[in-house]
Amino acid sequence: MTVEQSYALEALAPPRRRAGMLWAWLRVLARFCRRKPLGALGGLLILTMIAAAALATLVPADPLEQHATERLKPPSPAHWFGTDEAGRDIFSRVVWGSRTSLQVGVIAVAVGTAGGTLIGLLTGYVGGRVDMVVQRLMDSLMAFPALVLAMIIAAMFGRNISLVMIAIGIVLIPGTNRVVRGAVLGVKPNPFVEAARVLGASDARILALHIFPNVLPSILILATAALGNAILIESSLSFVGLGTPPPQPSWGRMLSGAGRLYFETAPWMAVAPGMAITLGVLGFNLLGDALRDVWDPRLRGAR
Amino acid sequence: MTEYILRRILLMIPVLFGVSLILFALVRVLPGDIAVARLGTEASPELVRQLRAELRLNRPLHEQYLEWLWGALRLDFGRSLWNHRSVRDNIAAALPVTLELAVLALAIEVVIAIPFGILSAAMQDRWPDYVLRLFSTLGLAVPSFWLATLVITFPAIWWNWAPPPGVPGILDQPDNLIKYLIPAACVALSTSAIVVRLMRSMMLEVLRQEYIRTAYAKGLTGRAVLVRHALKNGLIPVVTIIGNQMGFLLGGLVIIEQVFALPGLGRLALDAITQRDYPQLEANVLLLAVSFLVINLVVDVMYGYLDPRVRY
Repeated sequence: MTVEQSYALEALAPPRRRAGMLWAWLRVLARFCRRKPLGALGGLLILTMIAAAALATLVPADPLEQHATERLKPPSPAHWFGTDEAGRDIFSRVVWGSRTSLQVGVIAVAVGTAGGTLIGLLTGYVGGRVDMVVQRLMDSLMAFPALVLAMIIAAMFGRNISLVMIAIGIVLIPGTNRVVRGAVLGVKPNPFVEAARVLGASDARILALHIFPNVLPSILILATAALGNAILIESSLSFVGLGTPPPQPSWGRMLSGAGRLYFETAPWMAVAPGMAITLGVLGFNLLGDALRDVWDPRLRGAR
Repeated sequence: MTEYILRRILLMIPVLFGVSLILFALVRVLPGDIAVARLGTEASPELVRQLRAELRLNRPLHEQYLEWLWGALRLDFGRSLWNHRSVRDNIAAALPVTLELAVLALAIEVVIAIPFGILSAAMQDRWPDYVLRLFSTLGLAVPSFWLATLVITFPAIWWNWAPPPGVPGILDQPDNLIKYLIPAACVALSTSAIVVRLMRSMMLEVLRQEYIRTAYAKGLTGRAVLVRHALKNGLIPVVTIIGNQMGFLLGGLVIIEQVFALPGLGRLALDAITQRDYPQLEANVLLLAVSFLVINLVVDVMYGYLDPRVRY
């Protein structure tokens, strides 16, 4: 039997092996929870948010349905978080809002991370004049306050949720680019890169198989923290009316608009959505911090 | 040192050029024609064309860009398309509001966050440290506009208290401070949280170094070591971060000014976005970006003075 075949069989063999893998992963997870209780709390908050987004259809009250008789009702067993000025159930709107936040957050971070990683990898590796020009462009993007830039791009693209995601993604690009480029510059002088080149590997192969895997932990840490940031930006945009368009429930928009007139008579309207934003962002920040401590001691203390 | 400052200023030129290019491209591509927006969708094409010509929007984009850039260099941004006052006058009216908010927010960061960071490090793993870490982690996650909403809503319910009406001038104390301090604190919360965390980790790093042990060994008290020996080195990166945070702070002001109805630069920019008031929007955002760049230049230069190891 050749070596390759034996590997193939091993991969196929495995109820026992796979159970072993599962146990190994669980042990890693248990150790993470013990050593980084705050990180585990962050993970729990994120899981809660994902569960809310996934199971939103199970909430009996419709997030959009308006009941003239049920306007501005305080929290009660029928309406856990009360109702708003149009008689909509706030609990249901908060749960559905988690869908919006996660959807926007994940796609925006995917856009920002992919863009920033690609630019950072290429310019860091190629260097020279291209690097110079692209980095000045990134500096220019960074000179704009992130929120203002997102507002202008969102306004430019018009009121469409997928374009809001792209707007937030673009804002996240320069930060990712900077970290990835720095990491590439750190990895590039290593002997294994030179060795790969001596062996005749192409630039694309060196980038994809030798440099990228070494930069990956930094990217994952950054993406986790960026998710919290993206959720915050989405809610801010929605708050000023440039984010997720109605009627889709969005935490930021629940705190703005006509509803604000009723906050003094119905303060519960102001509490739940803000709490949801805070806990969601907190979850991603805590997990990001813990991952940074575990994976990348070099970044400790950095932003 | 002079050479370094000169080089940094020269390096700013391509970045400024990039800023102007990005800004112009973004704003002029905004769909929703200002001419149509002002005349209504029922206006005759003839009228729209006339207005576009009047606003000089009918020429090739590169000509518009060069004209705008030349104007910007002379600080002449034309007139607001909305209230027809000169863009510069609108900015001059809004600037003091934003400036006061920014200065107050910065003061809160420096006066409160830095001592708390030091305290947190000095009390590492005891309850003040835990409380401060909890608050700084939470502070990063709480959206400023929500905090602002709570601060407006609940005192009104519980004590029937509201911030003074109108916009009191700087000489109109104490109304002025009451009006500005709360929004400034709302914006400063998240930036302060970052400063507390960084100050703590920098102090912990410095406190582990040998010259600190030497200082203790020669019999200095804890406070003397902390303030006279550790703080000097721990403070340096914190100064940089405070500079970097300015962009975040300025962006946060856009929303806070909206919530508290303060007629500052941010609110002016937001109104300009919704009203498609190109000249006003361009000038406001350009001002925000340029002040960010200048602040960071100043911080970098200060860094050189603070840290004699940095040789340029």
